[in-house]
Amino acid sequence: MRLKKVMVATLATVMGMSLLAGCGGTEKVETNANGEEIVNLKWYQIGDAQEDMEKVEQKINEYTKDKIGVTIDITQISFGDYNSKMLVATNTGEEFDLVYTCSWAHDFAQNAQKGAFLSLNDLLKEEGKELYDSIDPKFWEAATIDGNIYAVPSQKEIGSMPMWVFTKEYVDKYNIPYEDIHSLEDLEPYLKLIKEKEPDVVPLYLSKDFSAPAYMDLIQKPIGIEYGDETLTVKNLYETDKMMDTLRTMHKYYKAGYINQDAATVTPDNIIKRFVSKGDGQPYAEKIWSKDLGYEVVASPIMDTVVTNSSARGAMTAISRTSKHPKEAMKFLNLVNTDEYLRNLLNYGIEGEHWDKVPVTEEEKKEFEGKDYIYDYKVKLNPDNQKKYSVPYYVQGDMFKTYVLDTEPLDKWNTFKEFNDEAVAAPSFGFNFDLSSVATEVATFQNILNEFGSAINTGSVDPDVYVPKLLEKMKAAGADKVIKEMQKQIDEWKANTKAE
Amino acid sequence: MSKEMQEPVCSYNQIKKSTNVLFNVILFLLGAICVIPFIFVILISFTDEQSLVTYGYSFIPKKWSLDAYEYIISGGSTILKSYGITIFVTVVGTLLTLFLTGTYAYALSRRNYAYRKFFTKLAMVPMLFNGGLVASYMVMTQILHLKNSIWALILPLALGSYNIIILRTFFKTSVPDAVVESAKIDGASEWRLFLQVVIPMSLPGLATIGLFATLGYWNDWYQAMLYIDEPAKMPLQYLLMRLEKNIEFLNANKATLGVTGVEMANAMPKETIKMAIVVISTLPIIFAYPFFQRYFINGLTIGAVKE
Repeated sequence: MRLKKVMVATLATVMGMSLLAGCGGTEKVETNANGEEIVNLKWYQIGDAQEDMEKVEQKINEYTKDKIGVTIDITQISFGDYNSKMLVATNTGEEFDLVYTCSWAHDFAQNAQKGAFLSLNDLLKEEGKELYDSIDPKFWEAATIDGNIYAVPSQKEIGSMPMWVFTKEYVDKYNIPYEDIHSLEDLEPYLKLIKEKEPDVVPLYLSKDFSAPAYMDLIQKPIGIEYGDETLTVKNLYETDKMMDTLRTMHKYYKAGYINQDAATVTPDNIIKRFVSKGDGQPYAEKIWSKDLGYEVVASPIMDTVVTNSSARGAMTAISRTSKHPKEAMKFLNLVNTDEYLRNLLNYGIEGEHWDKVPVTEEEKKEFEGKDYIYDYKVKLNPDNQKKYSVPYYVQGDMFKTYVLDTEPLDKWNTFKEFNDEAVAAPSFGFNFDLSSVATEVATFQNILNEFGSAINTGSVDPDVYVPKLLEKMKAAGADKVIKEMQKQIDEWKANTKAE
Repeated sequence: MSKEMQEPVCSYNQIKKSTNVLFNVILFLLGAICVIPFIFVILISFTDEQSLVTYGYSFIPKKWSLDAYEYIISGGSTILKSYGITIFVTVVGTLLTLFLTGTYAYALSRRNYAYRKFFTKLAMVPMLFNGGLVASYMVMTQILHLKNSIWALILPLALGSYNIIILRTFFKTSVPDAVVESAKIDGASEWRLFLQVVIPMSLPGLATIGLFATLGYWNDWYQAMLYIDEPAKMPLQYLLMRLEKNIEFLNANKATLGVTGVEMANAMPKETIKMAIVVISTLPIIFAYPFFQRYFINGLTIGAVKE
């Protein structure tokens, strides 16, 4: 009997504890100076959790509380965990308001089609007019599925630009006209030169994740639509003549010893001295690569920048279906993307602690007169404190609304804007493939690509022998069915868009 | 050796000298395979980062350095804090596991316990079926509100059916009913009987469960991945796991991420720091083994019938 009593007592304690824990979570109704009820929004972001996040949040809340009656609670989830954690949060119907989504993490198209995000069409009209007008329509097009806008894009580079990245040392030494080198074939004489003159240097350095330049929008890797193909014919990348030519050239280079012999198996290693490698760039990418490698590099684009769904969906913020305050969430997004103070606070942290304002001189400002996105200040990061608040900028909102760093040109964002304006939309831009009917087939593609991809792409094996093997495996996995389904959907899409 | 040779009983059990040598060599090689990588990790953690970049890995560092450990101890990192979390969770978790498992299993082991069948079945069910991730996540976050609470790292692992069954069998076989009866006749209450008679007799069994629990808590990162978002509450193993996953993610999405990926890679901790974290996260648990060792040998007879 006594044991029973103890058990009852223990049970009671445990339940009491959980009740207490439950009480901690309840919200108090608070009002701001204008008498509006304050709403707390929960925002999931990708990125490693920062030590000073709470401090910055406090600053944000001080400001937004009175301005729009909103406070924010940001939760950062590291890159490697973001997909799985957000999947659990979405599937369990957890209540949150804002969530980062894009083509490479917490997949935008899939989640939007699944109904995880709210349609923003009306909200944008009511609460986000300013925001809507401030962003390039191409980004909005990418954020639209079946006529509904499902997320607010962060303005940044709209397409990625594959580039050849040359080590400046050798470019200078041998006077290589790198700016005229674009195609893979253009490289050949210089690879040969380096091979002969610099035996310690790898002429063309590749690693296992290398993808040979593909002139194609890979809607479902490796199946998609070739750039410039207005007839919208769905093809397998490895069945196109252009790709086969590229792969044959790669294999030729590999046999000639221009490519490192272990290309198909290694992860990129900065220690290896190389003459040229491939990078996926954007304006000023050379600076970032140079910093990463520890020596100067110069770059030349392989092809024109093409806008695809995946490239234009590089960074977005959606409002969750489970949000109880969609209106306030949109108000907040509007403010973040249009308010100079708030945007920079989110980006760089607290002024005077994590960074300092550097006023731009009148002369410098004059130099760039008439250009867009020029601000009165630059940012000087405080190297010690900045470590405690270093967030991915594109997650926070529109990049074009931030001050540039003191090491960067004042017209950085104007250059980005021009870059985006020049980028051509792929014929398939705006088409969303619904893969639910072919999900099983698609799931096996990645395994097949893992098996053959690296060896074929790096030129390590003869494409005339191995590509047919790859294609055979893909056929067996149902590639034809996927192509047919995609063709059907894209034809419908074409008919619909033309009719509009 | 010579002493043993004098006793005929011993030589009866002995193997041939050559076989003995052979076995020793094989076991030495097996041991070396296990130990060498870890020694290598220790050495890398004491290597100068710059010389690692220039010369690559080597068994004898070109230049020794304590930088990695200085970084860990310095205020600039949350590693020490995480270390504290791991230790707290392990100690409290192990004690809680022992208490819950011990009392539950003991009750089940007593033949005269009225609800024995029901509670045995209750323990068996989760061994065969389980509610899955979504259900447990919902219970933890929406009913118990344990998100970002340190209890989220402790409670989910505290009571396991498998441990209960092992310990119940142990109690049943190593604590004779006669002992329980005699204690009762002497006037011992149920608690006194459990604490002063049964527990001292069952140390080997409890130590085994204790070791399982210690290892389980020390190495767990999954609960942290699910329930902890605040850096101040992350255990060490999760920090390591997160690093590993970030690197994998980076490599898998290199083409899509472009320049962003390069910037991310720049912000990651250096190689020597990673190795230093591995070292400090492994050493204490190595010392846990000898601690449990003396019980552990006895513990191997768990489930053996003695009567």
